Amino acid sequence: MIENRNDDWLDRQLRDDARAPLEDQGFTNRVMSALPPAAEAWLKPALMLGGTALGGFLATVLAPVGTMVIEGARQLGHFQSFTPAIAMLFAMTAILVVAGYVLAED
Amino acid sequence: MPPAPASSDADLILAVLERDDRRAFAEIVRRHQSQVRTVLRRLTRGDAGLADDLAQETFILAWRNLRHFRFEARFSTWLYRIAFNAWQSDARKRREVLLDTDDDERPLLEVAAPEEGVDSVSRMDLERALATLSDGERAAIGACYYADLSHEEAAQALGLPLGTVKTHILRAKAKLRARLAPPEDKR
Repeated sequence: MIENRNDDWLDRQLRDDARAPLEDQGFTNRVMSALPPAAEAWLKPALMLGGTALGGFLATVLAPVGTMVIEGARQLGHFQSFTPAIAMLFAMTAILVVAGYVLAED
Repeated sequence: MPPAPASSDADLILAVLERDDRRAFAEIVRRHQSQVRTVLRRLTRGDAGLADDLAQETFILAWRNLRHFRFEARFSTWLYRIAFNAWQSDARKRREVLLDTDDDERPLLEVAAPEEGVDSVSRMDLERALATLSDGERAAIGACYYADLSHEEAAQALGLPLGTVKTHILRAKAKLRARLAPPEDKR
């Protein structure tokens, strides 16, 4: 019985001590200034998207299908009707955008 | 726009994850700093400087790993686990930490002066008494009373068998009872 009473007292002491508020005293500012700079948050996706765009450009210029894509861009520039070349241009653009988005999200 | 004071931890975490919202993270730190620093002060035997360094490390690790937080558990429980790991890792660097044995022979550090406006005498006594416990006993008391974890959660957080945690709690309380008699027994 005495042990139970002592236990209650001890439990209360420990829990009161745990709940006693500790003044911040600049601690939060110290933590925030030690966080990695915000630039890192956008740098990685930007590098990935840039890399994907560069890869897409090189693939367009160098790959055999590239001439068709370039032709699609030319036809689109002249407001021609929806040709297979324009469809190919849209498909390539969509693939690059999706790939870049997936990489950036990862 | 600063986060609303009434935002839940989950709202703040989502703001950090979705928008890299540092004000939201600052609010998280403000909310939890007191308890995290207190539990680390008890674990480090009252070394306030070391405890604050470990608390800072805890919040930075939380920031880096926030993406891995699963909303199934309380955020504070997750945070305490990081704090315990930081303490154990630091203590291992300094010396071997034996969480499952007694080690009462170590010298005590000077206990930091208590904060203003609290029951100074009993807090000081409690800090001194807690500092005499072994690492394992102090960790178990820290987990179950200061971090408010269940015995099972404490065992998981500390990497100890459940039975060992229970034994540490029993022994620690027996030692604390012996050092800190209730007020009526002091007469």
